[in-house]
Amino acid sequence: MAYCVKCGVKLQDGAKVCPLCGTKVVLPEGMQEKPEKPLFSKDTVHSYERGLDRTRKALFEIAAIITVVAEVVVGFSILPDPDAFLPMIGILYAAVVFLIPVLVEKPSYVTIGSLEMVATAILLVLVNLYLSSDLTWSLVASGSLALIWVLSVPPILLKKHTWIAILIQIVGVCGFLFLIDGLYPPFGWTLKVGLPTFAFMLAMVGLFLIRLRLKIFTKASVVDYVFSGFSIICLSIGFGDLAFHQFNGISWSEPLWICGITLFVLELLIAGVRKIRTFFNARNGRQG
Amino acid sequence: MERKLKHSSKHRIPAEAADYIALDNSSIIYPPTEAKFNSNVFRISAELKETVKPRVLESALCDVLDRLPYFRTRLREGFFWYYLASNPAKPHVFEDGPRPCARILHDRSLDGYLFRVSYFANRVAVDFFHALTDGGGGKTFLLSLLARYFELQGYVIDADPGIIQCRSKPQKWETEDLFHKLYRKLPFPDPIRGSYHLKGVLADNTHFISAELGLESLKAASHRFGCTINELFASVLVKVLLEREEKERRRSPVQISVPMGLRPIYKLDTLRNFSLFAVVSIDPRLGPYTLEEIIRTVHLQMQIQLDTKELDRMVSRNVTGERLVGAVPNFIKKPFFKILTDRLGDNQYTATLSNLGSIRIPAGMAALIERFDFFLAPNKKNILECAAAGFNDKVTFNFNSYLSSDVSVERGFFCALVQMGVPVKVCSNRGGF
Repeated sequence: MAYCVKCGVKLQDGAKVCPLCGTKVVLPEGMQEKPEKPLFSKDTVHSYERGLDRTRKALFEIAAIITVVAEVVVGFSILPDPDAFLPMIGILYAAVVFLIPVLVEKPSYVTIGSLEMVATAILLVLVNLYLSSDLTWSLVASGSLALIWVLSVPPILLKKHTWIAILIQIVGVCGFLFLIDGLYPPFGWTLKVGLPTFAFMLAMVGLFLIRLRLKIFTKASVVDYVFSGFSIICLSIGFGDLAFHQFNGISWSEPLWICGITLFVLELLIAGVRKIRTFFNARNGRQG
Repeated sequence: MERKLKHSSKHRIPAEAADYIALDNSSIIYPPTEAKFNSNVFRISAELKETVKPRVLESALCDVLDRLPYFRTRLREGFFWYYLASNPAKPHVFEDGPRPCARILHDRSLDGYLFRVSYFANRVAVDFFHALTDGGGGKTFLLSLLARYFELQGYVIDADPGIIQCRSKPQKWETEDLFHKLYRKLPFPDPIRGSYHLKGVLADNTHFISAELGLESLKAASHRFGCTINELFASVLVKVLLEREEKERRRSPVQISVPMGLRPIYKLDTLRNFSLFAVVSIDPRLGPYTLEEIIRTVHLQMQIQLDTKELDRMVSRNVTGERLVGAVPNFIKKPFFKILTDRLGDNQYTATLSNLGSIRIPAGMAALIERFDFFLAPNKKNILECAAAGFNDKVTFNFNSYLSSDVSVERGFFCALVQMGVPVKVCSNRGGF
């Protein structure tokens, strides 16, 4: 019969560690004890031990009651009207959107976000089908949702494979551009305008990332992020205008170009001033 | 006429299996609040001196259920309330799993029964869904089952008031809902404020640490402090929790819920739920407390709350509440019960400490049993629960918790007892031990 030297409690025969503090049981040679009979049979998790906890069950029940009542009230009020379909499916959609985080067993940003987007896309397609046989606008909207998913989810899922995530994002954006182009065939602007603009934007973002990585001037601050972000957006849209006119001039994007370049220069000036200030502060410090 | 009679006596069921048994007042909260992390189950188990024979145990179970039709029931959902209805399925015994107090309500292998009889090596364990009975009723059921089990093996078991013999006739008291009998319109007790709660990463399953304590040393220790063993347990637990709270730099009161069996207090008996709870509370904002001060406060608080007038107020509050919401359909009540249990129940306690008391059985039967254990299921708010049971010269004290790796409270508690000179032997189902 062993005792724990730290806790002072008696342990089961054959115990290897103290259950209270984890201290190992060390017995002299030849004094090892046979283990007592096992406490329990195999370690299993039964299906009835899974399920929702109490708060989630309550939220589910409340949502179910409200949905049923709302559907019945709306149904009785306007059901003869063929347009009753729209508010009724809207209520159902609201219930689904509310219940997704309640019902997902281990909720995470990725799972909930993905399911919410799928639910929204299904709703859009259903409404579109009800209103007309042409699915164009619901496909554009669903494609936009897919684009948001591609831009937001891969960086989380592929934290250790950043380049693969970036590649997926680039492919996703190109796919979205081609989808829009395909849905509006007479124009065919993706190759002429969409892709060059996107490539320009990527190049600008790449330059900014290189500046961050190499710490050119100084470490980036919030000002750098904001100014560079706005600058890239303005210049990219301006570049779109340029590409639209097959690089023979611009029509409406002059203010954007001015704004983008001004922001870029301002950002350089601020970073430069900061660099100078840091330099002198460091010198003052050394002298002190 | 017959129909009218049935309705008026719905809280006192006939001894034969009934098709409608209204849940008693303290049971109504358990079915709607049952969920993952909230099984509302407790376990009483016995370690025998010989290996359990499952077939004999199953026969004994069938015999006991023929004698106790109240336990041969399943839970049904009515329009206004849940209720119990007779269960025609044959009962079975199961090999014990690794987790005491696993969920019962959604275990299909039980065929609707609200208890699970299981065996493993020398142990016979019964997990009860709390809506069926409380610790007192569960103890009677287990002892009656064991008595029948030994009888089937040829042992002679003497008659005892704590054991229901299978050859005896069913009595009315066995299935009486005593809360409605005791109800008088009285002012309600004061509300209890929120308490300190343990925090940590919850495991999917419960983990327990079971300890065997020497009864004589416990008696000596409690005699030194001038309190009962239960008050000593509660005080040491409060002290450990206060120390933990201080480390976490929190200042909410530590409140322990101590269930009180009402049978000896009111000198009434039933197999259904008949217990209320006392709350012992120490507020750390009033300054540091020594163990002696805690014991004194806990002793006084317990004495006040054991007074029948105070208990009558609690019964009055509970029964009035039941009557107020009686006309609301069950599907509307259910979610609100779930939310209100947190606000009005579990929020008020840091942990529960239930003591089954000393289990006394005839000498012929006592010679065949090694020890009894009592387990409570923790829940998401009260992630640590403890329960004690005494038998012969031992007291078993079990901590059951959803914290898989944090055993600081258990360690503090048992180390304090060791320092008082109480011998403690521990074992656990925790991984790695």
